Amino acid sequence: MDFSNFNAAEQAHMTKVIEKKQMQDFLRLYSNIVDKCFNTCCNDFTSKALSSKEETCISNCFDKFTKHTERVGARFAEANAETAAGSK
Amino acid sequence: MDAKNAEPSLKPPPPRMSGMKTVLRYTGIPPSWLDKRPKLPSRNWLIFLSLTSTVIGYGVYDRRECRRIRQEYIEKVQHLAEEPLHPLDLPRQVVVYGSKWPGDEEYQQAVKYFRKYVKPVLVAAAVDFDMVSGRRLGDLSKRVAEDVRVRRRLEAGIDEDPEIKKTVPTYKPPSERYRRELEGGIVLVGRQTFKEFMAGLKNGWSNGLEKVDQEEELSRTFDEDYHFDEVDEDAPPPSGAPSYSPIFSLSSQSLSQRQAPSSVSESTPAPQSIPQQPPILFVPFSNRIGFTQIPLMIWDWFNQRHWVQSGSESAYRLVMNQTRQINVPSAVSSEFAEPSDEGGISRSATTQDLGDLDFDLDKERLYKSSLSKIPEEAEKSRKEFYDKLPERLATARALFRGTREPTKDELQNPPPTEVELRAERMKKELKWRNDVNGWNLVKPSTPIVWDERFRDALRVFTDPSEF
Repeated sequence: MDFSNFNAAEQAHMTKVIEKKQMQDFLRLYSNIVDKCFNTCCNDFTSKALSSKEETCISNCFDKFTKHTERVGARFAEANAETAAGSK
Repeated sequence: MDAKNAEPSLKPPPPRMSGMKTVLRYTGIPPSWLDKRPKLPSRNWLIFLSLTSTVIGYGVYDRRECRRIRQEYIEKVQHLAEEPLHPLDLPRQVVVYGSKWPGDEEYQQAVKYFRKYVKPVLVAAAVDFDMVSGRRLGDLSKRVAEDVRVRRRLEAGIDEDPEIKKTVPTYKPPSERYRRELEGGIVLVGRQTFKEFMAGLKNGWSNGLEKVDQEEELSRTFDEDYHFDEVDEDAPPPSGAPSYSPIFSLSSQSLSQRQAPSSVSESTPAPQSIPQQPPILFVPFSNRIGFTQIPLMIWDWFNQRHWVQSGSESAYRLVMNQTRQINVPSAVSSEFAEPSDEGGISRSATTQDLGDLDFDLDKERLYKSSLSKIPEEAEKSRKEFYDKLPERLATARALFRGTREPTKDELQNPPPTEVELRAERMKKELKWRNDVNGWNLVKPSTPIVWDERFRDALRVFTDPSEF
């Protein structure tokens, strides 16, 4: 995708654009996780402090989310490779 | 109260009330109903109600039993689904083969049976599965043979996995893939699938490593044929070159063998021993076809619990993963070296017990008898086609070369050109040959193809010993 623009200046520009997009994606993912884990784990606002139950819930939520992303990414890469190999 | 006491006339004492009436009289129920005698409905109503309630009750009982049996097996295995798994790991995977039941237009009945009766238990145990169905008779054996051929080429180093697949993070080299397959299994739904599978396996492990394109071979045979030759009015038609009629020759194996001497550049002999194959699970399956079978189909619909029982039991066997060596008596290999379809060795003639090869033998009774006419019908359509061919060819050539002007009809519905005629012939020939070969593979008089190399390579799932 990058190297269709042969110009070096264009390439630098493209890399910057891609970096910016990746940063945005990363931050979006982060806010997504925070949102989901908060909604699932913290339902009791009778106290200000985070209880230990909620702590474990949050760490589990984050772990499962990253593992889930990893697995979905693996399946996606496999499916992509399958279609690419099939079409070649 | 005083006015009442002063009356001279006597009222009869109020009737004595007992039981329910004393309570119910204060509800809104009309009092006349409280005095009535309960009685049965009329004779006709009784007949109607008893019939409908029997039928409905039996159906409800059957479905409840189905649910109960299914739940029982699910509960036996669901603890296996709770085990943790690394994100990049894969669960156990089996391949399900379900080929077309001969005579049924719906080619997916076997796979549907699997989906309905075997799959729930596999899902509960978190066993992954790949369903493969064959659209026509003989499709599955071709596919299995092709898979084996690809595997042989990979292992011999002739082919490599495409580069792009190696870039995937979860890429596994072939050896590991095959090792993982061994932990999985193969599910065969029905005896017809078993026959096709064994035939495909044998073909795959016995034939050459070159890809055999059926269309190319057929076109080579057709070139030597006289049907599309130029018709010379004076010369007599060739008498010694009959149209290639493979109906009464052996199965497609002979076709590929005939071409083998010309195409094998790398003469790899068939391997002497076959590597261990994944264990096989037999799922008994039957399918009723035909108008006269409809009452039995209805009875089957009322008795689905037997299918649930057998399907779930098979799935349980698969999940529990206890295997044994395939059990085939040693006398088999010499007798059944070549499948013969001239009615030489029919199943009823040999009273030998073939061990595992007898799986689901009784279900073959259900094949329609009209299926045995498939070779004749193919032959008949072939003859018809070739009889009409010269005339159509002459029209096509005349119109193409301009020796004759097209008539009005021909302008509106242009007749097929020579190219189209050739294509049509190829398509039809393929269909006839595939139909006939497929039927020859699956018909009751063909025994299951067996090779001595399979004895050590095949294992079968068996009932777990402990509960």
